[in-house]
Amino acid sequence: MIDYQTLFSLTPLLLVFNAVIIPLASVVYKKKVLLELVFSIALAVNFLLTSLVFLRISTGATIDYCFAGWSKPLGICYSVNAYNGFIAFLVSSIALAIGLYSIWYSRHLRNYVYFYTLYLIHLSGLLGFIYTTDIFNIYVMIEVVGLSAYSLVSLHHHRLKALVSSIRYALLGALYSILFLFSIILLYNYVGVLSIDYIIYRTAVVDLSIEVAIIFILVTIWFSLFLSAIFPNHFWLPDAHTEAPIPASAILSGLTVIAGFYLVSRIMRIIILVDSYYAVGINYILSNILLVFSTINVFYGVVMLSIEDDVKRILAYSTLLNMGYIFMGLSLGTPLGIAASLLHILNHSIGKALAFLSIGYIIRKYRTRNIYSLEGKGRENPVTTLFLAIALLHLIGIPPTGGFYSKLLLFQAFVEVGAYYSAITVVIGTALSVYGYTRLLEHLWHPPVYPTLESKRVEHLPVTVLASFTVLATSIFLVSILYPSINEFLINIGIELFEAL
Amino acid sequence: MNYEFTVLNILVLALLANIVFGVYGLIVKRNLIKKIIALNIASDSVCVLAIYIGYRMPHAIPPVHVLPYSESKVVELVNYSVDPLVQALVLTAIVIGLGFTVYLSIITIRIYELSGSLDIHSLLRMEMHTEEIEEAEEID
Repeated sequence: MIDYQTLFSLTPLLLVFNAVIIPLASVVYKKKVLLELVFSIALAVNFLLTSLVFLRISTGATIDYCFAGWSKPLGICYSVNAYNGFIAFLVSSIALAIGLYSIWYSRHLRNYVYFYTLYLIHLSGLLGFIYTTDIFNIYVMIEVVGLSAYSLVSLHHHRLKALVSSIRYALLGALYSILFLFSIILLYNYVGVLSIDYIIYRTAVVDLSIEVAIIFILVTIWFSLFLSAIFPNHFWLPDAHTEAPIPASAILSGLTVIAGFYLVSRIMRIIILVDSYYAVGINYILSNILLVFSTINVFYGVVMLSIEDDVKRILAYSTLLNMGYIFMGLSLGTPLGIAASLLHILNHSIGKALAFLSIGYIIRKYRTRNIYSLEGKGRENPVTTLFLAIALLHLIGIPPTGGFYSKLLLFQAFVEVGAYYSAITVVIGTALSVYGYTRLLEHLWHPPVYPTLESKRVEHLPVTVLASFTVLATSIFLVSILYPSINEFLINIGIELFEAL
Repeated sequence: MNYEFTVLNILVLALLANIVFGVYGLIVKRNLIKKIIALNIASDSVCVLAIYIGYRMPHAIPPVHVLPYSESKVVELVNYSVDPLVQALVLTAIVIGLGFTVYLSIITIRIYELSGSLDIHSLLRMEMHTEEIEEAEEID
């Protein structure tokens, strides 16, 4: 008999514990092997625990754990249901794959100890943010995620560009988190409790009003637009994700941006479940605003994707494009829309992680990010380019890969409610993005017109790098093979989100 | 009694004005140090506002001594004590604010060492003119 309560509440603490152990151990024992071992064991154990919990909750169970025995409306409780468990499983499995890669990558970093520590703290913050049901704890966990993300961006601290993009990101994040704290305090003044379930219960069942929570909802959605880099708050993303070290770009671009989606989808329940005219009107206005912003994001992302010359910036703009799709699905406010967004999150995280990691190997080898300088370098690294091609085809959505199914589901969700313009937007975005992605592949594969960089060494992929590539590429095809069962699971999650308490 | 309410209303208005000034400074000022100061003004004002929300009118001096246990004393405590939860929240928020200030200050110092400027506009312009730099540093 496994004690699931202790198991899943232990995972964030375990990661923080290891994050503290690593710098201490580095003082005592100078060899890097020990740190690599601690780092990878922490990630692997976290993955095992999270997948055990995921297996348990996929049968429909809900697990609660309250810290220090304070029961639900009073204390800080971690709760895991199908939705939380799915996102947590996604985060920890992809973080494991990126962690395997970063064991190789950190050999080239002088301050790799900080990298390991920040990576583990970042992951722990994400998991805590996903599990918690307390709004103030959400704020704290977002700060943990945020501060470690800003530090990861500025890890190359000898480079002015990295520092400036990090401080821009950090100042904007600090401003919005202060406003978020302000709105939490106002909400607390009216509701008197910070547990998110109890707030929903209070507004939807007892009072049937969301007037008390309206400032909180607006500020939270604005903050989520920042976290997920949707249109008015999108400008920090390309700089930050380009300047970060490669594994950090992969985790920021693949996993951290879903925090905004997750926050909105939990907060939207407060509005959806209230059955008054006011709430219906607010819901209508907010979903239309979200739809407009995310559509702008799609077009902005796809245009910048096509004209950019920096390979990492191309992938960063692709993140904007995909977050646009995901928020378009969310703004529909139907179970099918949520399911389509979740499937697209799954696909985008895998594909973006693989794309960043494989292009990172080439960037690292030739020490340039310019698409013209990298001409013909794909021929010298055929295996890496194969993985990159799989990832990019997955991001476009070519049928044998899983990316096709999420766009299909998104299209179905739009057609189901008669939002034909949004359906056309998805098609146009996909069609235009084909140019940007294939341009990258074409430049890598095409023999250079002028010999720019000397061809170096044969391709030599370390075992950990190859393992992480293989795992991610396999999961791309697993998504399309397991599509029927994943689809059913996600639609059930979507229906559950709209269920009354 | 009216006097008390007036004072507290003025306090709330002043705090809200402080938050607005902080946000304004954070957005408009170009100097990074001034941005950090504005950030601190805003976050501390939010903290004081949180403390105010947990405040009760001062009719008894909290904390009331509950031990030895008696029901009337618990009722007295509940009626007259301030809200302890917001104080815990503010404690956490102050620590987070400290973390932010330390992080931003370190990055600002580092930026000043590298570029000799603290003006965010000129830094962004400088950034545009810097050429392509390699992805990671070389170590042997």
